[in-house]
Amino acid sequence: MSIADKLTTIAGNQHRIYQAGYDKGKEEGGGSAEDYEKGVEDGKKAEYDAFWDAYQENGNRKNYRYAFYRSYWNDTNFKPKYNITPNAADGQYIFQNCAVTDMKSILERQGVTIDFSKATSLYYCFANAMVTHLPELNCASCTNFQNMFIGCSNLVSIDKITISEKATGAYLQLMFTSCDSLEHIIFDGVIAANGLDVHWSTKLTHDSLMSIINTLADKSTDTSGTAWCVTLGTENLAKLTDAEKAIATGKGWTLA
Amino acid sequence: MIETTIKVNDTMSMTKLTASDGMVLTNDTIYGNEIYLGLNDSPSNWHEIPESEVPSVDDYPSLEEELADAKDALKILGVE
Repeated sequence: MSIADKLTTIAGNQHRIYQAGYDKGKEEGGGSAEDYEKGVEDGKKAEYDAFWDAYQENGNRKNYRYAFYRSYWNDTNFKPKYNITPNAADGQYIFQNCAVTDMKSILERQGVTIDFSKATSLYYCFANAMVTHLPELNCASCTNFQNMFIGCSNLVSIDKITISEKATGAYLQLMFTSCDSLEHIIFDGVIAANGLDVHWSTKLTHDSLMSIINTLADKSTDTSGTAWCVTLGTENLAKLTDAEKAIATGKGWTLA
Repeated sequence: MIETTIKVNDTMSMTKLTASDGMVLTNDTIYGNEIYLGLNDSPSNWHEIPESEVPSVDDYPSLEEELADAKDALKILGVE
């Protein structure tokens, strides 16, 4: 049964839930309105638990590839019960084309988190998703960020994203392609990989830009001949003073 | 291309390259209208090209790649 079918079945079971609640209430307490409502709530909870316990393997699921893929996942039915904790390369495609918007608020309401601390690849993780707000993302183990947020044109904020020296190659270059609405993102850790490009995100705050500047690794003594570059774009460069830009250039990074 | 030295303070200066009208600066990997050179970078690493020659960054997967991805997804989800 596809995810769409499972979700449709749950919705279709509403009538049976109500009837079961009513029957139970009538049997136990004479059928009061309170008994009826409790029965309904118990039924909904049982249905929720059954689905999410299975879908997230009682919290033990590690392979989350495609887990919330495509637009049949939305703000109404995205109600994870356990933390989302992909392992190794199993963080790829998780939310590609997903229609969930304020993921940060939903996760807070559910009391769960997205834990990327063990993911080594987040390739296309949120590609073309409709997400608007994301919480802190610990990506310190990740080496491949290619196209992670490509096409997230509604994305407004990421509370914090932690990157470490494990991120190598040019995988940061297309990470934020077409993130036209992005205003706030705080980088933490160390940006040691070449080619970060945020020029699509012309609304980035000064604090966001400075978090990039301040987390750039010191390449001033690098003798490899590599041209270390970060592309902020003309609009974002204009938000920085010469002294702030010089923090990056002094560390051996060219700003475009 | 215009090359400008910006004095940041008594001990630090920075080199800025500005593209001519209708042109973009590139080192064949990175593109920009204004380039602030890193400590070990050099103006000789950068040259101008017409704006029309800047490669497209619309690097979305092709339709065939999307369809292949969708099929993989359905297999992983156990639908087919």
